[in-house]
Amino acid sequence: MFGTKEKFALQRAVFARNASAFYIFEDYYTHLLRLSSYKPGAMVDSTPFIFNLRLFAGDSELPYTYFSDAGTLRMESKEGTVEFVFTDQEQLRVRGKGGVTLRIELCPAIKEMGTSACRGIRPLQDGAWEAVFGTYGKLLFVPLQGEIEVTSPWNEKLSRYDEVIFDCVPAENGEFEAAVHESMVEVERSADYLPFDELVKASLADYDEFKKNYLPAARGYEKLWDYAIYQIWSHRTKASGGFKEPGILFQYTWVAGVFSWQQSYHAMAMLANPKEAWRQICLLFQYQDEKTGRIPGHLTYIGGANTTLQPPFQGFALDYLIRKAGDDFLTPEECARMYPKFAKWTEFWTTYRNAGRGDDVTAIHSPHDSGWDDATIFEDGFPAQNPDLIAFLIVQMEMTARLAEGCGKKEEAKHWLVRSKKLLDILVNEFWDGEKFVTFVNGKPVDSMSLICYQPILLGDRLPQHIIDKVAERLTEEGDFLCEIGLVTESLKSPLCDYSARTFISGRVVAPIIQIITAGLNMAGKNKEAALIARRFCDHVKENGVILGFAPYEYYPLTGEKADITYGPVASDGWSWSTWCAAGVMMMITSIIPEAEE
Amino acid sequence: MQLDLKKIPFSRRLSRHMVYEETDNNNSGWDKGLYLALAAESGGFIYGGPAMGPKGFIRIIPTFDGKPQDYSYQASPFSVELKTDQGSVLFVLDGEKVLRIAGKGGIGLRLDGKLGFGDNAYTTERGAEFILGGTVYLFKALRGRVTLDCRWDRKGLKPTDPIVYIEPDENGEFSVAAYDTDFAYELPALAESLEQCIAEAEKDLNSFVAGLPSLGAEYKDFNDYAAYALWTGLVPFKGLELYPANKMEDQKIYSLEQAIIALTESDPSRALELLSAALAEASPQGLVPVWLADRQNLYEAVPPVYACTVNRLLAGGLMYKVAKEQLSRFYELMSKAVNWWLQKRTNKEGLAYYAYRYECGWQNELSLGSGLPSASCDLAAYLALAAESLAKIADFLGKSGESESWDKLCREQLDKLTRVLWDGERFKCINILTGEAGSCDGLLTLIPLILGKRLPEEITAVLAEKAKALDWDKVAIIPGALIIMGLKDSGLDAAARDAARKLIESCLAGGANDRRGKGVNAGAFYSPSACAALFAVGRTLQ
Repeated sequence: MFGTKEKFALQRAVFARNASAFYIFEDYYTHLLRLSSYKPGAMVDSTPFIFNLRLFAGDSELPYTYFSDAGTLRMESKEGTVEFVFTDQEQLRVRGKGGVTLRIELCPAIKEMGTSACRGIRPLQDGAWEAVFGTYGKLLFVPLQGEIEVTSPWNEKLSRYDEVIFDCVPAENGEFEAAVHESMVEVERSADYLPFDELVKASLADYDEFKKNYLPAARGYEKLWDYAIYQIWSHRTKASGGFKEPGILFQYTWVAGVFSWQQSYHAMAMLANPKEAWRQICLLFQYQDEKTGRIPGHLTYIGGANTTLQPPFQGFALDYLIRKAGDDFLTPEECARMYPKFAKWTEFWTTYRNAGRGDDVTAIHSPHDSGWDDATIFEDGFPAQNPDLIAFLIVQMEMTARLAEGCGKKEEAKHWLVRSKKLLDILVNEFWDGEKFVTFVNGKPVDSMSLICYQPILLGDRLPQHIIDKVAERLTEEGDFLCEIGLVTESLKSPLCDYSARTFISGRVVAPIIQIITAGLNMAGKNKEAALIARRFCDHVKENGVILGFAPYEYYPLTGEKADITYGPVASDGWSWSTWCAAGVMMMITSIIPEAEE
Repeated sequence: MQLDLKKIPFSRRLSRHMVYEETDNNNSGWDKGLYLALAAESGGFIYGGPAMGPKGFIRIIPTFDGKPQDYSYQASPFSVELKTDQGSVLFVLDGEKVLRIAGKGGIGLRLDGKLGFGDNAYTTERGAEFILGGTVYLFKALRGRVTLDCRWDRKGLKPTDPIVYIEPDENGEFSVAAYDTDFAYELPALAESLEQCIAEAEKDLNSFVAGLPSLGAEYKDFNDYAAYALWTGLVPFKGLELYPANKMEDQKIYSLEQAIIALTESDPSRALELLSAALAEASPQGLVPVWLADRQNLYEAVPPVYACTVNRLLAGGLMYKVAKEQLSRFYELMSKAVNWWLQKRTNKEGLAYYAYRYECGWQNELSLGSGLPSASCDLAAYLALAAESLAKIADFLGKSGESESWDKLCREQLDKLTRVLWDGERFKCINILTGEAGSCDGLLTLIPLILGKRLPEEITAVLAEKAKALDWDKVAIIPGALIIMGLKDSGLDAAARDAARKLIESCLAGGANDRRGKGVNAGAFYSPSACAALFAVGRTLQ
């Protein structure tokens, strides 16, 4: 899948595995592979806890190429090879053939950090070595064949090691094999070590099993289907640390968190396994605040729930899931379990983000409440009454009603439906200006040409036809929002359109909003328009990688000015491969695009 | 008592509110002056690991007709009064959650705030709100007016630096409540008057001080400061009341420090609560974390210093006054923690060892000439004391079999200490892998004095001589205090008294901290655990 000679390398993607915290990527500058773990939650450009992977034959360093699939990563040199496999037991395994030595060398993101991450190294009596890295965790290197040799001269003056090197040295037959265990608490040897090849088989089997969550891809997108699923599978956590259940990380290298609304994005793509999709939707409710009903914006391995907040996306995801996969998974027991949680979450928004108008209109206090950090709908600041959030809330109320109905609470269901309908009427009557939905700050409309102004299309066929038609028309007009690779997030005609490197949703073509818009158009009966947009985006992803977003052009069509669209070059930049994009791609190539072809 | 806010913040027990004077001691670029501060972990938007540094986030500037005014201030344990030529402003804590601010004489305030990524500030019908992760810091006008100047910098993905303006009413007065709250906005009822707030705080401090040992009249001022540091140092933490390293700069709860602070407790149940906090967070194998924080514990070994505290509670008979259920629970926790040392850090010959430098607790205070992993005398002493304590508790709880095992372990550790690690003149260390002996130097080699009369007289005599020669101006306060208590327990009262005086006096100018004020952040001069250690040695003066 990934490799030196493959279409995609590991400069922006990572080699990883479901339920393992280890990851390997390729350094942009040196082209060396590098190893780290997501558990400490450090960012790849500033962590002191990264190891270079180098090959040696005796004292001579060997250049290498590499290839990885879902099971193994193989480093290949003229002399021999080294293979990695990750496991779901906080352990990686590595084996070498052909007499090569693998050097695992601590090499921080910032040179000046030196070996500061390493607090101590000690030999154990069985040839193993333990190394402790403070808040970054602990590693245990266990030789299974050959030896582990450590170089770690202590510098009294600096009070740290001059270097930290673990060499996996081959035995007389030219082979070595080692296990590397990781833990944030204590590392211990396994009672026994399964054969390497069995671990590879187990990884591949796990990956194949995970694929069953998804419908087949539309024709022409089969390889992308594989890549996107690999991206999601490899970023799935196990239930440990701060994670009570498996969730799907956003990234490994930058923001290794299980984000609230992203779990629901994933649910919208898992149409072949609605039960698992529903579990994804429910995931964050396990951390719901009892007093306020708030659910955390994201979880991390360290500490679990965080204090961030993300929009009530769950109702929208559930609506899409029911429409596409039926509602068999919503048993009375499930409805009874989740109805109070949904109701409390919905009430969080109508209580703690209420605009104070005497109805359910919300006013948010931070762009993070909406998810759209630098969208121009926030040009006039906060509190903002933004229609995108209100649209989520309308479906959220309706789905709360669905759950109430499902567990026999008919009166409460009615109550929620009435509130949902009333809020929909307000949205249509007060927030639609004939061309777009408008955000209000201090009672005044915000002058914005953001794609977010059309996000209420997520309401699908609940919206009046004239609005649906207008939204579909605006979003399929070339050179406005529609471009060759999908939808820009700020109209190309807007002077505020900015898709430079350090932007998110002020112009770049990004996966999540395209997922929402195409799902909305689809549910509004605009299947062809939805598929048109989906195809443009997915075709670009197919060629360029499962990356969160892209600059549409290297210049701004409105002014002809050059756009500063690259971060780097840096080793694995912030626009790395991400599961957020993978979720969108999976939904589009398995439902939005095929449905337009039916 | 007048507080020097450059050294210690104005605060109160269990409150996160603080007022302090920033002096930019470490040249970090802080504007100087009075600040409002909040004892909260910061940097938490994405990962929220515990952050270090002064906690000031709002600079206080008095104004008159909107113009900044020069000011002076006076601070007592219960209020801070800021004075200008025109009028004054009083800061008082109304319980734990509310800072009351009242101005008169036409004075207003300009509060210059700083926020981090993910934070925001805005105005609601409740007042001006600062959103700091999960915390809401809310300014509500009771008299006069509160306005906020803060805009959203869309491209910067953050708000502009917020400025809160507090303006007086037509009588030239204002009254504002600053709440430390969260998104549930459960705002506590306010006291009727600021005098009432002061009276309640005073009553609370007096009650707290009544339970503390005293450093005596000779050191009354320092005693009062240290007591105030301990009283204000307490914070709510996951349903418990514990002490962070320093509310001004390090919110982490160090397990070793809780054990030292427990030495000052007159209530044995409360002492066990402090001791149990970290023991209860031990790994399944029994590894007690170095520190606890809101979102993470650091699992590195920390020496079983709690043995000293438990031993003193037993010696004074206080331990037996604790409810059996609590004692039984504590026994289980402590047994598990001590067993970790026996299973993970003890060789076949019964020598307990440190695997890493930091495991001794004060790595600059111990030099192990044989290299690591190494058996060390301080660890053997802690374990001997721990085993003896566990034997006594087990006996009291009717676990005679376990009591005997602990007793045996105690004898073994004493034997290792006095026969294997003592070479007749000094303690040596032994490399566990090679069996090689090496010299063992540093302050921690005097720790075996904690064994008091259990230690052979010839060893005590040598250690006491070394203790006498210590430069107490530079000694790390906690191990220093343990050594002094050991001298006293060894019957060397005069030596203990002399050392205690020197240790206390070393802290009079620079505060109770190992750096004696050098390179210490403003407001962070009094570490609660160092204060507690000094109170503990204060007993030797009596």
